[in-house]
Amino acid sequence: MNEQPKQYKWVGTRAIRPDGVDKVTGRAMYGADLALPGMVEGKVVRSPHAHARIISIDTSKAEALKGVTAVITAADMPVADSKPVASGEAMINFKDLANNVLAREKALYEGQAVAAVAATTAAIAEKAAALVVVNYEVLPHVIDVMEAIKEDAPVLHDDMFTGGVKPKPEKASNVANRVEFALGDAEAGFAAADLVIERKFTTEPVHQGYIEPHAVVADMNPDGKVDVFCSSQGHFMVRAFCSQLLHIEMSKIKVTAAEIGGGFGGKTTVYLEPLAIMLSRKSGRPVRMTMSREEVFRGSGATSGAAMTIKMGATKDGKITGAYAELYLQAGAFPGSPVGPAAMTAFAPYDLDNVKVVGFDVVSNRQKVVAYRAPGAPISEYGVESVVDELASELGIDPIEIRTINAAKEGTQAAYGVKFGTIGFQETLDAAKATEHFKTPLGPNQGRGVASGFWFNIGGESCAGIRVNEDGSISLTEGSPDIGGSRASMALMAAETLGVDYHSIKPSVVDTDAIGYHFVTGGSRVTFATGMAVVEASKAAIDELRARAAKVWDVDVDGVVWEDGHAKPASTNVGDFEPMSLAEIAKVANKTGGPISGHADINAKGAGPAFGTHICDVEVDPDTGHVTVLRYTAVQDAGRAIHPAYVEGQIQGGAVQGIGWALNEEYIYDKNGRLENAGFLDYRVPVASDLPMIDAIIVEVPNPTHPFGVRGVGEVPIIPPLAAVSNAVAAATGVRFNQLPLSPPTILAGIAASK
Amino acid sequence: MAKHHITTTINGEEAEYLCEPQETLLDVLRDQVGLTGTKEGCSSGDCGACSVMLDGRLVCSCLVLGVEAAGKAVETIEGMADGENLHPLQQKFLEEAALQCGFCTPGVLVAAKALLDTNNNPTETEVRYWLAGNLCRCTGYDKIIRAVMDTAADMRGA
Amino acid sequence: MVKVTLSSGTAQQFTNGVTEVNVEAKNVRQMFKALEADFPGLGEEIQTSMSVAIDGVILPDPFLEEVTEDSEIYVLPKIGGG
Repeated sequence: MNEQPKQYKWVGTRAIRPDGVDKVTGRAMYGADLALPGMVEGKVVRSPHAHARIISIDTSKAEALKGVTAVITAADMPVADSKPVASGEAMINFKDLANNVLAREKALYEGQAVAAVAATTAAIAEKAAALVVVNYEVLPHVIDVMEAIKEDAPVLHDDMFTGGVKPKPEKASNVANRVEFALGDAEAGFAAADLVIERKFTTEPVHQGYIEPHAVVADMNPDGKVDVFCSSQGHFMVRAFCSQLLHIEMSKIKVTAAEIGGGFGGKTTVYLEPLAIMLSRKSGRPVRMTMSREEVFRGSGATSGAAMTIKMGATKDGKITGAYAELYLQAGAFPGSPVGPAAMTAFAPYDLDNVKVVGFDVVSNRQKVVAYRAPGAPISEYGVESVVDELASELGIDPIEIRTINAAKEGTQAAYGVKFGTIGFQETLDAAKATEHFKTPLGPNQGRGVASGFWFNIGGESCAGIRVNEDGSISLTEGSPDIGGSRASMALMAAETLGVDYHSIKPSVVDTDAIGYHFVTGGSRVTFATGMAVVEASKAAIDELRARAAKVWDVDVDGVVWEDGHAKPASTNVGDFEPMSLAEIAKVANKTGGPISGHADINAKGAGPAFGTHICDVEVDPDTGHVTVLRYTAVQDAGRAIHPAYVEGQIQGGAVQGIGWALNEEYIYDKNGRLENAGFLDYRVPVASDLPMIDAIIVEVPNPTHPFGVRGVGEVPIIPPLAAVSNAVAAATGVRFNQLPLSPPTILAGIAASK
Repeated sequence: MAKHHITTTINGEEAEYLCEPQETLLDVLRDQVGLTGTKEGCSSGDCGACSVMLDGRLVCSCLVLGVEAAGKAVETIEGMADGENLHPLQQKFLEEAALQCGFCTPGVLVAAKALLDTNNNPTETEVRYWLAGNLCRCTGYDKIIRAVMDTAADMRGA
Repeated sequence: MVKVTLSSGTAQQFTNGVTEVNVEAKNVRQMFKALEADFPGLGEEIQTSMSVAIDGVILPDPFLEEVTEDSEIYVLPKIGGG
């Protein structure tokens, strides 16, 4: 199945990224780095309560402060209809989004924005924010997902009735939605099993933890035109959301993508941008807004905490006969947890006849969750991969072997319906098994864990333009914010297709006025979808270059082929012409019809599903409960690695985020529903001294629908670590914890309870 | 509040700025001096994105007041390259793809240079502990650590 | 006739739990119309808030695609990503 890689000149090389020098010299402009003449600074007033009715807001004192240019509340914002609108691939209820951006009747979590101010300096803005008087009626709150579904739990939205069930419930509850996927008969599957294991798991809420806080500069002209410069995973998303929320025509809003200091899904929505526009309109001046780290933790991003039951049965030779999962995911203050993808991915790595997955989307008094790398999948697959590991160890089967026995392959029907095409799961298992790591003996208090992961990957809207400049250099335009080296990948694919030097191509991520709509940089789609657009634009440029050469030679265009960056006669019958290079054709462009370019505006289909398998060694200190990750190997099918170093980087970075989720990271709330660890000191992301090297192994089973075989890379690597670490800890301690994070107190308590 | 007139040296050049007594060196560098290569990630000294050198000492500029830089020498990421010539660490970071989003990169580079200036043969553990104050959420640190060690090896060989 | 497979959850809402439904359609837009006619709300629900997978390819905005009685058609929730 693994075809021999074609010989490419640029694809697959480790070229230096075109934006690299800007980023190592401090020149690159991120969200907070722009200063405009006359610019004022904005500041958000946030709710101190987890759940409270807003009785009144008095802005008069703030407005009276010298230097204050504007104060806004939800009263300044149009009222949005409560109706889901397809926005890219996400369904957005703009009433919820509006309330999340600026609370109207109730504050539903600590840190929710209730007002915003702008002033000539940040210090004055801070002072003004403190002078906004909000009168609250504090209401009972609920954070934990299993508490939130209780009959007597405080209800966040009295107009919310569980969707996905029939008949419609009569009573409002915190369960926003129920999803279910089934294949065959799970109960019959358990009846056929020699061993059935059923476990309950919990995971805590975690934050994406991008190092750059949200930041924006907005400037609204008196004629209604708006310029926005901000750090996001999609400047077209920012335009669309601001347009919907503020009732401004899209053509009047120009969003320029700042360099983005990490996102991981957390920057696929708006927080500050609409506020900055409203403040700019009121101030008549450009407004800059930046979140503090504390605001980032309280008021942005984050994914679900969850509770789940996983039940799986297998025969004694390791064939899984039945599987069941029940998933409860926090959505935060408004509906929309990633429970759908969590349910779909849960058992996707395995070829199963009898599966049932039920999932519940549950609101509670936390910030609205937003995508985090393979949203939902790390949670459900953590539970499943833990049970698979336990089945293997109970049955005395090697953990890679049990996965091999059950691995999904081409033609396997996943529980969520789709039959897989060409996939590379088995190849990741084989590569993992072949590592020296997997065979290395362990010492006392050490353990090894294995886990796999699956993510769909997505396509979607992307555009690209190739302009052949007069000197034969290439200007490449596209609109996917470059979050981890995608400009390099785009230029490599264009160089390969055009047959020109990579260094002659300058890729730019251009603003929303300069190119067509792009879906966000997310879902592991950019190298796949925008890459596809770049290849198509390059091919369109080649067609034009061939046509120009045909004119020079006075032959039919069909008689001209494009090879190795040159137009050549298709055969000797066409005539005896010296091949013309791209630069030579460019030089005579004016004589043959004017400037030369190629464009593509596509909705890319056929993203290739991707799988990964990770091996983790840990040592657990029985006296302190501290877990040290000794060694880590992450294998992943990338389809084709356009730039292997950045593919490895995605795998290594994703793995470490997963390790953080498994070992350290969690939101801790006090009894009033206030976050107690809103800073990097107490919310501990992995630091360099916590980790070993992460061995990234790229497997390439090309995706047949992409011109170079790309699948998408970014999501999968965060999925396996949760169970890989947890399975390793179980092997080291002999205790299955079934909860994350595996922090020292949890480990010590578990070890003590087992004795 | 009366502003202080501060005279200092930034990246080898004399510089002056006016700052309020409570303003951090980070804010002064970014907002008064216009050197935005030094980044703000947390303002509490936990992330290292704002790392600069102050009289040869590695500091988080968010934990230093603008007035404290009076009469001292400040070195930022903008001063690391020598004109067109990148510092070997900058070059190695590019060659080995030791950055993804690039936001933590200025702070990591300033901190790594501080290490190599005093120890040109650090062990992996020494590099990891030295950079433990510089958070990176993209790379998992692997390529950063390798790039620092490979730069040190090159510099020793040169 | 084309066979459309729904998730058990969607089926409970719109088709009394029947997960496989057959409609007369040559392309996806006809399929939506036919589903809406047979199961009021279903065609609209799929068009506005779900994806369709045809022969293993997940399509977030299906409309023009041709379908035949050999097509494998599954209705799924929309998938985004980080």
